[in-house]
Amino acid sequence: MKPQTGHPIQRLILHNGGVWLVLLMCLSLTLILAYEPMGDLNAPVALLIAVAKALTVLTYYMELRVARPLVLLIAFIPIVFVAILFTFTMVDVLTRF
Amino acid sequence: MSDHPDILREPWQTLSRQRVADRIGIWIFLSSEILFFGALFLGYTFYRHQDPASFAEAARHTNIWFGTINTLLLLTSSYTMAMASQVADLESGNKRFILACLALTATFGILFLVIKGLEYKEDIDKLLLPGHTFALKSPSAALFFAFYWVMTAVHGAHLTIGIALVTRLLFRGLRKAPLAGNPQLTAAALYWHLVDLIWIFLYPIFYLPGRSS
Repeated sequence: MKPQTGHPIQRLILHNGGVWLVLLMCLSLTLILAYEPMGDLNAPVALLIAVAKALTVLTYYMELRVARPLVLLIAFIPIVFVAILFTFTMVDVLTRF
Repeated sequence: MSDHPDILREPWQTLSRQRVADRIGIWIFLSSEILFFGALFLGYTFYRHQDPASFAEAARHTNIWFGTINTLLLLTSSYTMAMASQVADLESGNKRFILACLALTATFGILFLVIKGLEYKEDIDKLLLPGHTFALKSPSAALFFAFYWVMTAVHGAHLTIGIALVTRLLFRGLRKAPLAGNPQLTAAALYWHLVDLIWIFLYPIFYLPGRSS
């Protein structure tokens, strides 16, 4: 493992600044791709980029990468519940009509 | 990071235990928020699936530049909030730096609300408020804008609470209350990031559909 050097605040500025740049790149990408005619793929691609941005914020800014297992569980459970909500509703909608 | 009496609360005997409990507590609250917004997103998805063309047509009437600038502002505010929270966790937590980050975070939040206000004014001028004078013909377009107004307004209310929390911490910090190791700062930061997360998903569903056609 590479030894960490420099002032701790400087390290945090650089580290979190890098995360911020990744988020801005995702924002630029989603804006550019919104104007690309990709047919039915436009919406899934925009949502995929949103998921990537959300995971980046959760992992680094909300510090889930260093969270204790109980916090991870509490953060993960609502995502599973929302997934269940979407899956059962949309399965019905997509197969009924 | 001492067990400062200003920030240590009953029933905890040490700040380190309070910090663990506070973090778990705020995550349970954020989980309920995710479920609340999840239901709204599901409603939007259901109706969009019924009439995707009208939703795309309606989305073309939102102002993408206001939406994009606001996304940029919120992402930047999450950076400054993460800096405030993570520097406060350092042994050598630099109070002036934390105060500056909190001030920047609140400023970005207020700028977001100002831009949102300008956007709302433009939407009202363009008769995009569902009702008798609504500008678009399709009933699905009215549904799109019903979700747009409700979800962005609820998000704006959450952001206003976030600004109040950050401003309170800022003034408490200026009045000599400790910020390093303060569990209230961690909780406020996690709440702020959640408000950012919600916007990350509002942006593609309200501003991006229908731009390529």
